[in-house]
Amino acid sequence: MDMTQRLLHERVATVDHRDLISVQKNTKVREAIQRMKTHRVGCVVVVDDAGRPDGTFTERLVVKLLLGGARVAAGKHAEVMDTPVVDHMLTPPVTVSLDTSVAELIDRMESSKLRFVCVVNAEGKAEAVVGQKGVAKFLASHYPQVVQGNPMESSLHVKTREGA
Amino acid sequence: MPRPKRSGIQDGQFRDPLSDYSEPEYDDKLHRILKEQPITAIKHQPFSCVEESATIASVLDTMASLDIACVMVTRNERIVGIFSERDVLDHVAVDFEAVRGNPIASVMTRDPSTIYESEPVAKALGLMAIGGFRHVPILSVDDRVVGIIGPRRVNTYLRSCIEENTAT
Repeated sequence: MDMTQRLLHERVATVDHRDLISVQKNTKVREAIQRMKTHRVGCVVVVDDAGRPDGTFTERLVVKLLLGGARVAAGKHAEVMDTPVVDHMLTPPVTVSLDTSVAELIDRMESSKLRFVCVVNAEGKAEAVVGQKGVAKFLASHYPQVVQGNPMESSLHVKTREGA
Repeated sequence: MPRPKRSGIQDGQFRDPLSDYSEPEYDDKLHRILKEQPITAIKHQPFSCVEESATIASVLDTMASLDIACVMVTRNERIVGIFSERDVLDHVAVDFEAVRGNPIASVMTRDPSTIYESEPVAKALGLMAIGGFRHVPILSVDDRVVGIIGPRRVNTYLRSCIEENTAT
């Protein structure tokens, strides 16, 4: 099966995904950022009481929020940190199911220009997050010898003269 | 006295590897692209560089106004670090008021992994998929920054190659 066929036939379930880190709508920005730091993720999913995604809160939003706070006035930053995530989150959330094809997953990421997409189950509850890195791993896994055959360090030329 | 045989080479079986001029075989078009295309075949510009003395607030302003996820930090036109949204989260977000006037060098990620412009696409994919690097600066032969790539740029490029493959 070539890569084109593989993208069409393989499902999101086979793509490396991140654990779901969710917050409630009334969670403060400060706490959401802390959770992102603790779990080393670039995105938390804002869910309702039933666990269905309402929106996403991402690293990029944090940059924009900080700048908004910085431009208004000194001291504004603390106020922004204490606002609920629902005031800033991206809506509507872009979602896929475990049964969505990888080709469609890539389509949705590109059309929404998002780095992360929420995976939902049959009941519409958020289950995981898949991102650009997962897609890169998926592509790389098809060509392991080619991808792993390159040293991690830049190897164009030696930094010191041999024998010097 | 018989000459000692070199290990691994039996009489009459030596083949000079340099005499093999046959075309390498690839599984499909993407396989060939990964191996043969240089990294600069992928969209690697625009990119943004700041001096290491720039303040954190001014760098955030640059990132937000250009809508970019990271900037490269340079000293005398040579890369010394990289500052991304992840660094914002880790080192700036919570204490922004206290650190906004500090130099970007105090919170950047130092000595990032880089790739030379003549190296193959496969290496970039490996750095991201295996190494876990989200952004990889591209350098010219004289170590100057000429671009940057991230998972989106790599995935978009590889996908366009696959679509091209399907169309033909």
